[in-house]
Amino acid sequence: MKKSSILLLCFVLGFSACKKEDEIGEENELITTIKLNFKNGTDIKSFSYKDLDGDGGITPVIDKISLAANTTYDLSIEFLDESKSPAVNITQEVSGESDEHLVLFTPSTIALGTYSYADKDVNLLPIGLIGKYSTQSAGMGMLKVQLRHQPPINGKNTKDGTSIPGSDDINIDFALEVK
Amino acid sequence: MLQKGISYTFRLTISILILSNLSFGQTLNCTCFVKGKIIDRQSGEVVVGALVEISAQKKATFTNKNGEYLIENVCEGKYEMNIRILGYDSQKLEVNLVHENTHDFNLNESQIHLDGVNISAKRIENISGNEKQLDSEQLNKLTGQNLATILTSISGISIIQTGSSIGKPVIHGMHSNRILTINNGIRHEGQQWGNEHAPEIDPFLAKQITVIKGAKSVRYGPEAIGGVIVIEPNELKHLDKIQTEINQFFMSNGLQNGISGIVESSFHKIRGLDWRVQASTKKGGNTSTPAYNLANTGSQEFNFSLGAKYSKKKTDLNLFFSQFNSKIGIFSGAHIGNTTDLALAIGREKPLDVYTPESFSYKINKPYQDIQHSLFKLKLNQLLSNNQNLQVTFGQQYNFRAEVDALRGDRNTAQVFKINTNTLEVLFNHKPFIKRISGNLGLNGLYQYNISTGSINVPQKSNVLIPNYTNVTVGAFWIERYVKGDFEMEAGMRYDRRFLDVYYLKRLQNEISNEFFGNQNLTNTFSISRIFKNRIKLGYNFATAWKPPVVNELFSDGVHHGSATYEVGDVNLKTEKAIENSIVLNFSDKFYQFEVLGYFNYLRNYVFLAPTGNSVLTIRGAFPEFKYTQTNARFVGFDISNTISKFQKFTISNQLSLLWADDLTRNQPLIFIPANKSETAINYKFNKSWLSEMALNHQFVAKQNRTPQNQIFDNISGETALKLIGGDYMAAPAAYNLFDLSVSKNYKFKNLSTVNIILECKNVLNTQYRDYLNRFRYFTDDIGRNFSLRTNINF
Repeated sequence: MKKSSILLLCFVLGFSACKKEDEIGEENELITTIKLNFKNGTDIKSFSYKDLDGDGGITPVIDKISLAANTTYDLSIEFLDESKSPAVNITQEVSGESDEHLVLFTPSTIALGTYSYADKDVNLLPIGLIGKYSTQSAGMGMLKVQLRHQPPINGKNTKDGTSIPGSDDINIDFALEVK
Repeated sequence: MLQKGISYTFRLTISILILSNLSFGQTLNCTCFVKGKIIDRQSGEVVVGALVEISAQKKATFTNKNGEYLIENVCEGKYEMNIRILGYDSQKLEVNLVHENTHDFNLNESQIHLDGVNISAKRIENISGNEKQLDSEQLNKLTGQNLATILTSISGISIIQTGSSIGKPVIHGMHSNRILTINNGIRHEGQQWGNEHAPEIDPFLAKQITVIKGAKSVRYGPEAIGGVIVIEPNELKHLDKIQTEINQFFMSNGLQNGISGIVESSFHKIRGLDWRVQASTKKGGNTSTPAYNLANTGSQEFNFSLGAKYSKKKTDLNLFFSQFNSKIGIFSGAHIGNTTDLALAIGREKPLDVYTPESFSYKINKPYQDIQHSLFKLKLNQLLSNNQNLQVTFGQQYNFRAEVDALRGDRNTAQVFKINTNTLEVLFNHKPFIKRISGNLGLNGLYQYNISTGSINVPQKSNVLIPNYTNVTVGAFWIERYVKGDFEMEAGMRYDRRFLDVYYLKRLQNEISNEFFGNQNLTNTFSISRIFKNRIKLGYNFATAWKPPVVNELFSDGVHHGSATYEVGDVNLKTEKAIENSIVLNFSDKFYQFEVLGYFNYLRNYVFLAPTGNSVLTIRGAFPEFKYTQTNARFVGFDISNTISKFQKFTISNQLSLLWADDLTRNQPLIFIPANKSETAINYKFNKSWLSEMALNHQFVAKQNRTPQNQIFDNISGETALKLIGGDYMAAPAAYNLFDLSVSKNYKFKNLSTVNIILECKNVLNTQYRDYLNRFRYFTDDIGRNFSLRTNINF
C-alpha cells in the first residue's frame, strides 16, 4: 500500500512538471498612434500623436490642434498600432470592451471648449469614441486626451462614468489653439 | 549545502558517563549524576570552559581545565542537555537517567555508542563569527512565511516587500544581485535583479538556513558582496523504516493555508540507496490591513522535490530535482498607468473602494506574476586516501517568470523572462599539513543564457526589458585555515573571469547589435580569531568582493510597470568592487551572552538606480526617468545582541540592527536603505504543563531619517508630474511598534513520533503602519493582525 501511494505521488509530480511557456504567448500590445478627427459639415480636420518606436527612444510627434471659435465639431478618436504592417486598429478592441473603457477630453480652461459624449456602453455609461466638441471664444491652451482602462476587479465592474477608477492607457496633452 | 566535506568542519566529541545509584522503592531518585569530557576531535585537545546544562533540573556547569564536567544530584528521568562553547555551534542532547545505566561504571570512550549518546558539534565555519543559523526547530515556528520573512528573525537582515506576498532579503543594506543564495549546494540563478522578484525557493524543504553577513566571494564567486544565504535540507541517511514529516499551517489574514509532506527511507534491496520525496502547497486569498481589505493580493504555490543518495564504500552519489511554482496576485490599487495615476494614488488616505472590497476571494486576477524554477543536481563525493576528498557538483536550472498585466479583452501584456543556467563545481579538500593547516581548492564554471525573443543571437524584437545574452563565468579559488587551540586564522584567494555576450535590436532597426563584456577580478579574504579565557571571542574579517554589471543595469530601457518609472541602463558601467572589514566580539557566560558585530564596507563603483529629474513622454503620459549610475559608497553598521537565559527556561533577548549607508561622491545618504530596528523577545518554557512554551515579541522600527536630499544627476530639463522628495515620491513613513504573541505545545510519543502545535498572533494590537522598504507603502498600509496555527508532525 505504502509503495503504491509513493508511486502514485511520483506519477502526479511527474505530470505537473511541465514548462509554463505555452500558457502565456501573447506579445506586448502597443498603441503608437492616436488620431482625433474633428468634423464640421465639410470642414474635416485631423490631428495625431505618433510614437512609432514605442516608449523612449525618439521623442513622439504631436500635432497642434487648431479649431475655429464658436463651432461645434463631431469628434471621433482612433487608436492604432502602426509599428506593425498592416497597422492594427485598436479602436475596435476598445469599442468591443466599451464597458471597461472611458475616453476623456479635458481642455486646460473651460473657455477653450466643452465635450459631450455621443455613445453609451451596455450599462448606459459614456464611452467617448464619438462625441461633440464645442468651442467658444478664441484662445490658446492644452487639450488632455485620456483613455481610462477600468477593468473589473474580482468580477466586479469598476467603471462608473467617472475618471477615478482604473489606470491610464493613454494620457496625452495636445496643444490647442482656437481662432 | 555548506560543504559538509570541507575538512575544516572540525568535529567535537563529547563523551558522557551517566550514572545513578540504585533507586530505593518508589521514591524519585535524585542522586544521579552526569559526567564527561569534551574533546575537539580534530586537534585532540580538550575543550575548556564549555557550558553544560540540564535546564529542566536547573543545573549548569563548565568543563574544567581537563575538559571534564560533572553535574550532580540530578533526579531520574529523561532530559535535554545543552552544550554551548564559544566557536562552536550549540548542541542539544537527550540524556536518559535511569537506574539501568548503573552498570556502565567503567564506560570508556569506545563504548559510548552503546548508549547512542555520542554527539558531534560543528565548529563554526566562518571563523570571524559573522555567520548565523536557523535550525529546524526555529524554522518550524516560521512555516508558511516566505523565505525573506523567515530570515528577518536574524539581526542585520531586513526585507524589501512588494505587498505582503513578495519579499526579498536584505543583508546589511544590500540586496538583489549583491546577495547570493546557495540552494542545496547550487548557486541559485533566478531573476534577482528586480525589487519585486523574490527568491524562487520553497522554504518548506529547508531544514537549516545559514546566513553569512558580509562578503564571501572567495568561496562563492562574484556577487557575494552583501552576504550569502545557504539553504540546506537534511542530509539523506539510512533509515530502516519510512519516516514522514508533515507541516501544516493556517493564517487568519488572507485565510492562507498550506501543507508540506516529506517522506524518506532507504531501499532494502539495494544497500546504500536512500531516497526522499517532498511536496508542498500553499494558498492565500486577499489580505487585509487593520482598516480595509486589499483586492487581488492572493497567492498560490506548489512545489516538490525528489532526492536520492547512493553510497558505496568511499563514494557518495547524490541526485536531486526540485520545482518551484508560484502565482502571485499584485494589489490592484498599485496598478499604475502613469505618474498622474501614481500622484493621485499617493495623495489618497486609503485606496479607492473598488480596491478594498468587503468580500473575500481566493481568485487571482491580472496583474499577477507567474513563476517557475526547476533545479536538477548531480553530486559526486569521493573520499580519497589520507582523508582527502574530491567533490564534483553539476547543477542545471531553468527559471521562468511572467509578469502579466491587465489588458483589453482576454489579452495579456506579459513580460516573460526565461533563464537557463548550468553550473559545475570541482572541490578538493587536501589532507592537513602539520596537523594544523587544512584547506581546499576549487574550480567553478557557469554557463547561462537568456532568450527573450527569437534565438540567442537572432533576436526578433527591440522592445524587451532584458536582451538575449550568454554568460560564461569561470573561477578558481584556494582557501587555507590554521587552528591552534584558542587561535584560528584563515586566508584565501580567488580569480574569476566573466564573458557576457549580448544580442539585441536597436529601435526601428533590423540589424542585430552585439555587445561583448569581459570582466575579471582577483578577490582575497583574511580572517583571524582568538578566544580569551574561554569567555570572550574576538574575531576580525577582511574580504574583497566584486560584481560585474548585470544585464538589466546595462540594458534597461523602458517603463517599469508597478513602480511607474522609466528605467534606463548604462552600457558603460564599470565593475563594482567592495572592500569589507568586520569585527565580532562575543562574550558568553552562564546566564548571559553578548555579541556585537561591527562592519565597515567600502564599495567602489556602487551601482544604483536614481531619478534624473527628467521625464520621458510616452503615450500613457509622462514618467519620471530613473538611470543606473555609479558612486563610491560606504556601509557602516552594528548588529548587537544581548541574551539573558536562565537554564533556557526563561530567556530574554534583544537584537539591535544599526546601519549608516552613504554616497561618498555626493556626500549624502543612499536611498532605500533599511531603517534601524530593535527586536526584543521574552520566552518562557514550562516544565510540566498543558503549555510547552510561551513567547512575546516586540519589534521597533525607527523612521528612516537618512534619505538623500540632493539631485544625483545634473542637466535637468523637463518637469516631472511628481515632486520628488529626496529622490522619492513620498517621505519615509513614521516609526512603528509591533507585538507578537505565541504559545506552543509539544507532544512526544513512545514510538519517537512528535507533534508540535504552535498558535501565534502577529501584530496583536492591529497597528496601522507602513514600512520604508515596502514598495506598496505609497498606496496602502501594511497588513494587520494575523492569527496562525502551525502543526508539525513527525512519525
